[in-house]
Amino acid sequence: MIDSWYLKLLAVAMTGLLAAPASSQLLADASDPLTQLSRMSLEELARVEVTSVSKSAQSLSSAPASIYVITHEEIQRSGVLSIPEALRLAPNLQVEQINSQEYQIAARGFGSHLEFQNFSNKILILIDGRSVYNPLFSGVAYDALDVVMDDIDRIEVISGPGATLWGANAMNGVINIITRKAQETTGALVRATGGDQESAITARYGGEFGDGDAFRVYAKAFDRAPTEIESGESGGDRWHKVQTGFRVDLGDPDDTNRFTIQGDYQDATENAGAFGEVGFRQHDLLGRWEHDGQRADTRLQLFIDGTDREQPPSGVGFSLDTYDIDFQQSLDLGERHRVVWGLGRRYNDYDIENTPTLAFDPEHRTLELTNVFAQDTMVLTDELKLTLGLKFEQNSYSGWSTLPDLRFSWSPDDSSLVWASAARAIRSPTPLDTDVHERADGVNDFLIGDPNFQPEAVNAFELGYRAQPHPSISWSLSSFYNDYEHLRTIEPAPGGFIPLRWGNLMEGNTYGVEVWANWQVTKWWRLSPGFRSLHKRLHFSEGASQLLGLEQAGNDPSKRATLKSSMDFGRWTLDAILRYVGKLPSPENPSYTELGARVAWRASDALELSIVGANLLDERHSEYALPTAREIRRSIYAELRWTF
Amino acid sequence: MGKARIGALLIVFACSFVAAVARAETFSVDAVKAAFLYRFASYVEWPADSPASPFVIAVAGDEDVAGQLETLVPRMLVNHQPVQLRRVVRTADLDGVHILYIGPDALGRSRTLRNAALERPILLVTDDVRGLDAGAVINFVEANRNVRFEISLIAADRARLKIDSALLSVAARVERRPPAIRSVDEGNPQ
Repeated sequence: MIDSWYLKLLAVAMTGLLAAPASSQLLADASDPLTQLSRMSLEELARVEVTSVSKSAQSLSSAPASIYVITHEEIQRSGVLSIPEALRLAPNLQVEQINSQEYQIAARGFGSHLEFQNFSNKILILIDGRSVYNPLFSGVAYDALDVVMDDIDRIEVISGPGATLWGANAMNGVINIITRKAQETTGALVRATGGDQESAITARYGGEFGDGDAFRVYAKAFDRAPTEIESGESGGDRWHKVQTGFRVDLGDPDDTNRFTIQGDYQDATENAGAFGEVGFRQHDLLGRWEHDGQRADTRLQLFIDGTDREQPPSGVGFSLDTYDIDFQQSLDLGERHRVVWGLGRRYNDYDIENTPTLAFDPEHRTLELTNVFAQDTMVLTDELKLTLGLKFEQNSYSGWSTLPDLRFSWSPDDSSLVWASAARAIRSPTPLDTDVHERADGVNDFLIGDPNFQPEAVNAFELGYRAQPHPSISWSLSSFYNDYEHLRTIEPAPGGFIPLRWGNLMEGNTYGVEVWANWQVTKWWRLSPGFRSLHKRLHFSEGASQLLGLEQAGNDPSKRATLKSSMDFGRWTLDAILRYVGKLPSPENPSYTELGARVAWRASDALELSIVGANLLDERHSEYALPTAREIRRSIYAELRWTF
Repeated sequence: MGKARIGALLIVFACSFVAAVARAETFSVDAVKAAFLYRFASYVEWPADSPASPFVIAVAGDEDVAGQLETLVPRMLVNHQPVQLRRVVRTADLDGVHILYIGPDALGRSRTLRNAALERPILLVTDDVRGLDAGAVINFVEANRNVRFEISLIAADRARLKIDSALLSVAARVERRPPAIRSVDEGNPQ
């Protein structure tokens, strides 16, 4: 009886299928979301839930490069308090905290080797188009890299060279920190943070005026606890900072002409162990004009940036003033060419306070940097694009450099992109490389700069694939092969052994992969795994002294993996990031796994309360070899975020 | 652990992965917008002088939505006419267009195109908070996890389009009377 009932049902089903005018079509439709959608009524369509992962900036990006975009939402939901901590969210970066004030951050290797005066100097960081790369010692002062975290629109992290568009020092990567337009930050915001390691307060107010114009002003302050030395005593690196700034945007995004004026001022006081307190003050002012023309879009940008840094125990104090002008235009030439060209000039005016053991000759100087570039993106077919770029850049030390870039991208459909690229980039010489006199005894030169120091250079090759096979899944894979030359070494000066002198006698290659994915597991849960590997095969050039070994080029972990989880439960959200960082080879720092987490409760549209934990798995751990670095303690803090 | 066991584990993992994907019944924003753009056509009446065939949906500055429409429209009919997708950049591309959709990032840079569209019987659809102010008849808004839209009847009148009340009833907001005109407000205080 059961059998006959079953057979009947089967017969009905079969008949139904056969009777359908296009049964195969019907079957196909069932698995085709687009057709499902097109058959829905308007009311049903308006109720359809959409996944936000499809609008993730990474899948949207058609850039033929290994680019990871840290979104505003990701920064908010991780609860991070500083830009270096936010950069841990990018799977294509390595971020190591050295002490409470300093970090080493690198893409594709060449982090710092602090003992050998090598700073993570092959990555370029910009805030709203303003370079924060320090041209004196090459590298970035991470304690001065600061904005209102809530005002960040996104951080674009590009691993691989970006020299054609961004210039020298964009050698292994570029980090673009982009803050929101003033129109997008109207109203008041108060964010208060309290925890065992950090007390902070941020206040921002923005408003609109005129016809689509807007402004914002902000002030923030924090006090950051010291890290620890091996014995568990204070590392003596407590510090605090006050920062204030503004931004005015004239003209809404729809206007043909738009102006932006923004500026910041910060004043920090840093404990330097037994050396007492030192500090720095930094100010910047930037103006930008953007014009959308009929055929060409034009941008003119000027900025000034001034830093005064007091003498830290291991270095020298200095004042540095930067003046920069940059012009850029993009235009369509015919149907198939999108051309971007531009030129720029920068002055770095510096004054170093020499000490008996560390001196620069000259101690005062104005460095000039001039560039002109053009890039053409050619649409070969609907699916194929070729980008050819060339930049000529001149610096005060090594003259003109040619920085070419060739990129080929193939987009077989809307949801996938294959790219291949070849590019050359350099790290330009600095006063530390050319003008330095280090005197261990305070009298005789022990190490001197090389006036003929050459730029460190890379020829970089990349192959990548990015796809979104399903609305809930997107992923990216890039592999690279970098060929380096003229890496900095230490050599005997002509005519003797001491003093030693900087040289350029290391070369070799690196290779590795970067892979990450976004998976919207359910409507309320997103998982994002990431992994990067790096292999270095460096060797000394002929005639090198081989002093200090190959390790002086940077102390990099060969592996790093992250797993991010993001959950929504109505008014509650729970976010976590688990990170594994491999062993740092020399000086050795063991591998470690750490966890950051944040639970937040949105009490109302205006008020959010959260508890954040950083480095939860260990009471304390080190990310760079001791004793140069400090041990980082577990940290827990509570936050209140109020908008009105 | 032998290779076979690792293989088995991988297969189990892959299966659970596929199962999870199949369960995730969310649609992409782009697919929903594409479906809306196609569905709008049934609720709008174009003036008689508007070309009848083919029915042209144009997209500027949103390759994702364009891609979805490209897959969708070859199978569809609007008023018994075949539907064509057109990617537009220039004013000259607007001939014969019924619906023009301007993507969220392109509103600012498409001023010329938009102004040209405003002079024709074209259903201008945008995806920007300032969309209706910029002259759009329909503007997408994202609310929670839904895609909704708002309608300006003033813009519809100017474009000589008739909007079916069924479409109005689904709209999140309908703009009916003219917004205050700045020059009247500020220039002629009476």
